[in-house]
Amino acid sequence: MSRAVRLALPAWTTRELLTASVIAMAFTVAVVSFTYVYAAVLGLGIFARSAVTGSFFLPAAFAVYVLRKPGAAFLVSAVSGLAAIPFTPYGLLVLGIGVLTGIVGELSGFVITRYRRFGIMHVVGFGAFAGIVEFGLVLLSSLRTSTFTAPVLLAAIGIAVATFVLAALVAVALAHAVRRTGVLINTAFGREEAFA
Amino acid sequence: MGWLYRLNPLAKVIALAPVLAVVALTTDPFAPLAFTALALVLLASSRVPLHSALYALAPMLLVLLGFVVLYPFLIRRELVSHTPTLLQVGGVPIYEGAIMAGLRAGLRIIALVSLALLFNLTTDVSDFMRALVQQARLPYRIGYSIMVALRFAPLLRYELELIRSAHRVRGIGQPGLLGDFAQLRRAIVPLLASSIRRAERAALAMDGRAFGAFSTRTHFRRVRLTPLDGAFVLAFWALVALVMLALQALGVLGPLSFVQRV
Repeated sequence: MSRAVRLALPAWTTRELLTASVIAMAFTVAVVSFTYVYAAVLGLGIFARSAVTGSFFLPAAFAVYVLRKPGAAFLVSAVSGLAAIPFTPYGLLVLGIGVLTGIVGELSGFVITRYRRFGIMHVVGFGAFAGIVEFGLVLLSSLRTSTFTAPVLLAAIGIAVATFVLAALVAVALAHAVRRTGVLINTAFGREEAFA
Repeated sequence: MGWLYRLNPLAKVIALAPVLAVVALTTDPFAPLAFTALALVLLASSRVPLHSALYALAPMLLVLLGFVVLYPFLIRRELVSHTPTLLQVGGVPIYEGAIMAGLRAGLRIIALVSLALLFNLTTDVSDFMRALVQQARLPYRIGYSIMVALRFAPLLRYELELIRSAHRVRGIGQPGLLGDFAQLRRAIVPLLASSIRRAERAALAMDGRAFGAFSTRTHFRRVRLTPLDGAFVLAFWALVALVMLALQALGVLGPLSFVQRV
């Protein structure tokens, strides 16, 4: 491999890139379903929207927990949004949500877990931090939530945080379920569990 | 094939991104309506089947209805109490300003979805990835790894059907929406496991063929950025500017802001 390529991608092997991409593809099935649920509940207001937004965090949370590498959350989340384009008429917006959730996942992964601390409180903190950031970036801006009353806003933030934490916990449970099949042995999570 | 299909996907993204941001900033209902109409005219001019666009936009009408019904109960009263009261529901006054705020939010979402359709309905994802690698300088190892994974999509769909059939044979599962979600939950672990196995085999094959050995590479299929793409971007922005100037002249543009005017 040339020096230039190694400098650009110091730690990503082809195996990791492919694994991240197919994880994203597998989650696309879920993301497409979430998109239709999101479209269906969008009109039910800020609470429903806050509740469903957390489901888009699932691929990013799974990627951070399994691959434990900077860039994993962004890659998996963005690719799952990209792969959803042919399967949903809201494709470009889903890609936008995927990219944004990936950035939020990266930020949260870096700030809370540093890609190596994954105790239960770290996972909860990881989800909660992501929920607050995403609420601030998406819901507060696009729905003009500044017009809502304080109790409504607080309840919406609470719902967003709860669903992001739930998504992070589901991702962890999913990772442990997949690990039992033996396919994660070449990932950071699989190696750590094997040596534990 | 219509003219939008022939454009470089990156040109469509470059053209659309700032316009989507502008639409997100609109505070009056007329600007989103105008952009929705513009998107539909462009789709029709590119011979995109109208039913594809309506399929995407029909649920958005329910979203609009939901916003109009719910906003009066969620919005801060001091922002709308100066507007006329239209009716009382369970002792809660429904202000005209609150309904208009819901209408504006709903129309804005419809406009965003309509503009996004210009990309969604006329773009092949693989061509988008090729354009990202060839023009946007995305490292080809990342780009082609994603493209390989995209090629797995039909296989994953087949695999998902296989898993569902296996569950049905064992008598697991129930009809209905909840049943579908329960089925998805049961299928995701075997789906992830088989996908990762497949990825590892593909990665070994790619490494065996020296994938990533060189900093540059040749391409089987070229996606080109032509002067026509540049002309489209400029013409689209000019068209959007023209629409905004017309709205401004009619006095219905309103300020562009993230803070909602009521």
